Amino acid sequence: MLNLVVSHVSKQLKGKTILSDVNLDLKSGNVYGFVGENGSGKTMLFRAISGLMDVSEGEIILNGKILHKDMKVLPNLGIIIENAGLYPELTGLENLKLLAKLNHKISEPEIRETIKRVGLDPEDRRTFRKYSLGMKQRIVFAQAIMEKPDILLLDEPTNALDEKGVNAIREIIKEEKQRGALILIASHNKEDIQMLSDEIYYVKNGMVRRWEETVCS
Amino acid sequence: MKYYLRFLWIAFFCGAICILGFAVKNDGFFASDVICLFGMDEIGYFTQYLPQITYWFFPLLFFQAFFGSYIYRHFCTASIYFFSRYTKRTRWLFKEILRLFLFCCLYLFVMLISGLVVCSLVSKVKIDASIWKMFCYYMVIYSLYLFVVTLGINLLSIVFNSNIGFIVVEGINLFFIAAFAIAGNLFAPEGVILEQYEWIIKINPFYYLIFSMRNSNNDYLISMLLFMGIAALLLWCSFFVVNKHNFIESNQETGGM
Repeated sequence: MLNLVVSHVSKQLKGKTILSDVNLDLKSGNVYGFVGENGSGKTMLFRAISGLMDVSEGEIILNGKILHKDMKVLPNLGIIIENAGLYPELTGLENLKLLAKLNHKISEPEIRETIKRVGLDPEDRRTFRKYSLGMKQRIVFAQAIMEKPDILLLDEPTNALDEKGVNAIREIIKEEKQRGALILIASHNKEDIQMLSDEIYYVKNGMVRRWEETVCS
Repeated sequence: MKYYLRFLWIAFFCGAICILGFAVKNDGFFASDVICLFGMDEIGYFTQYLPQITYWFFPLLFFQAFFGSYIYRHFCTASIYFFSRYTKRTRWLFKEILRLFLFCCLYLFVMLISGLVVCSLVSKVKIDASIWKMFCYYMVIYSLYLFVVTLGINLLSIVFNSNIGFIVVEGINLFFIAAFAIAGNLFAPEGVILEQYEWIIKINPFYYLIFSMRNSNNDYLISMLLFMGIAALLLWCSFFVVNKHNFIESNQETGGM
């Protein structure tokens, strides 16, 4: 059972406040949705939670261990960040093999299985550069889930996908939740968030509030 | 790795093209002379040598342009997915830097071999006693130079972006080349640089690459130590930059979503 606590986290960048006193208490087996306009701070929040970006104030604590003190990034993490692609000169399978080689957690047949799971062909010889936007999104999603991570940070996971693709990704997210993963989703698509999330947060100007609180006020 | 090994064909081609003119003009020569040519042995500090400097500099520029993103590419689009899995950045960087240095050595080695092959096909090449000495000097000095410049481009690219990285480093490189080429015109009225102006040419790193300016083993040793010193400084900077790097922006330089 994982408990991820975001405690009074703020981030200033070039004199601008990007995250302002963010507090969250998140538990595995749940899906947490984050909605907000472009530039509201959703992606920055995910980068901060992952450990790939330092915070100016506050702490991120996973089961009592403090990020950047006891660990550099969250362990066993699957992540998608909007607009971040893979190596353009490699095929989908080669990309996933290269990333999987870093931790040696899964074998090639498992990688191939994950690629099929997101609706792509592992034998496709096209490079990532030549993939369509939808295919890129699927393969990036595949890299996030392939190692069965404990924590999934999904920034706009259904971007550029057709209806069939959106439904497939939603199903996988439900399966990952059943497996016990702690899942955070940021999306413009309110339908995604409402359908999948156990708790919804609203992000505006770097501040994060429970959806119910913003609706009531 | 396979993707970068393809570039060795360019090394082979450059080595052959660069030496062809010399091989056709001369009838029989020592192998160490060929190595010295690659070490810009026919270059002097006058503007009339600029075409030759450019001629020998181009193969090195190709390498620098191609490998200028060798380490930096990991900080482009896939950086989030790479570094969220692999936290030992120092260890990773050490391996990448080692690979980059090996590529530098391999590139120069292939260029040299192709030059020697072309010479032996066109004319007679005699193996002389100093070949191994010159081979070692060339490989150490030029691989360190290539490594320093390429690592510099990578490093500045990580901090700023690839355009700034390439333009700044190559700008400095070309400034030193131009300063070297013009030095004789300004400070050597009799063909040799006046003693009081020698320091001007001796503070120029490009001067330490030119084999015609190296007269003793000691001179070669100084060249090696200079480039080793710059490489050590850059290595220290690299470990600092890579460990402190924050993944704040999604870099899409090489084909994002």
